[in-house]
Amino acid sequence: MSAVALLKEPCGSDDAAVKELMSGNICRCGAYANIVDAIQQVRKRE
Amino acid sequence: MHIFEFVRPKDSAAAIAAAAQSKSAQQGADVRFMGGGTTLIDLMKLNVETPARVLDINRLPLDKIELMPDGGLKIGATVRNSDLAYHAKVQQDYSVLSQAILQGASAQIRNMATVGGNLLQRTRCVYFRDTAMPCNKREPGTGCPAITGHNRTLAIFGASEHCIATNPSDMCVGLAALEATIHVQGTKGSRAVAFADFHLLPGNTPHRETVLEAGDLITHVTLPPPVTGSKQVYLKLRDRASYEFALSSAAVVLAVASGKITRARIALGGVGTKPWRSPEAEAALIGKPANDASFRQAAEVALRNARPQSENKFKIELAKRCLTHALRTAATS
Repeated sequence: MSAVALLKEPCGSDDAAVKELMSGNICRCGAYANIVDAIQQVRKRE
Repeated sequence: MHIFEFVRPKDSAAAIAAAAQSKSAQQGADVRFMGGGTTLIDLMKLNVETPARVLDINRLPLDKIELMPDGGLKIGATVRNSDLAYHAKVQQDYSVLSQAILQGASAQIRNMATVGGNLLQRTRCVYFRDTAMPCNKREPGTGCPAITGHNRTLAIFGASEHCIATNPSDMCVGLAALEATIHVQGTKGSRAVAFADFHLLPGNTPHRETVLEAGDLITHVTLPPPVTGSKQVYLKLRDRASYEFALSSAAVVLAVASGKITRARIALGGVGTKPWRSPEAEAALIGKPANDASFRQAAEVALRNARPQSENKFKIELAKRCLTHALRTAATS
């Protein structure tokens, strides 16, 4: 849900910005490398 | 969580009339306004807040950000933290506020939390949030276990023998440095409160945190016209990179002409029982060259009257370095 939301939010282009908007979920695994990569892949496609 | 009545007043007058029935607008209030609910509902789940009535003000017309004729900015009480932080005018002319908000909480919380609610954010002191423990702020007269207990994150400014709880807000530190004004509507009409006068020191009444009385509704916040050419920085130091409260933070608004500082506004977060403006440090910078020696000197002045607790002496040096670095960043940006 955080990942889908950040696609519509004013999120910076770098990985650090993605990690920041993925924070706040109970588990830190929300910003693991493969998850960040997947989000960036979708953002580049859109 | 206690049973409560959830009401949606039709306009501000109805909201104020309903809230005026409360015995207080402070700790123990039996009627509460709800904005985003990100603090209030959490505390209701913990039984720290036990209002019998919750007034939802989200549908009142208090959600606008407007330019004022004098060049300042008017920010409605129910404007979401995210909307304020990403507003073009705020990012351009009041960037310290935008930076402060975006370093607080998480994206999800910022999307819900409101300006009015953030002004009233409660402390994260663990004793305040645990109803099994005594706490003068939650239950006046029961004592303050933090003074001899876990106080690493608590205040080095503004504490009393009754309470040493830190104000946790980032937004408020930015607003303090920008010299905001808080506009309140109550049963006796409207009034404007200077930001520095809004929050109270704990003294011997730590359950009273602001000047608000029962029925007082924060309608909006205004910012003075921007200082042209000023550099603004919010620097926040914390135990982890995101979604954490400040151990020390600094909001600075700096204007430099021909290498000399012509204007400085400084507020510190994570260290005070209220957002901690430092007029002494501001005065120490005026007319000085914009260099590290001046910045470090101002930081020494800012922390001169700090009084550490048993576990947080480290905050004094941390806050000095935080402020020095924020000033340096502003001057070189």
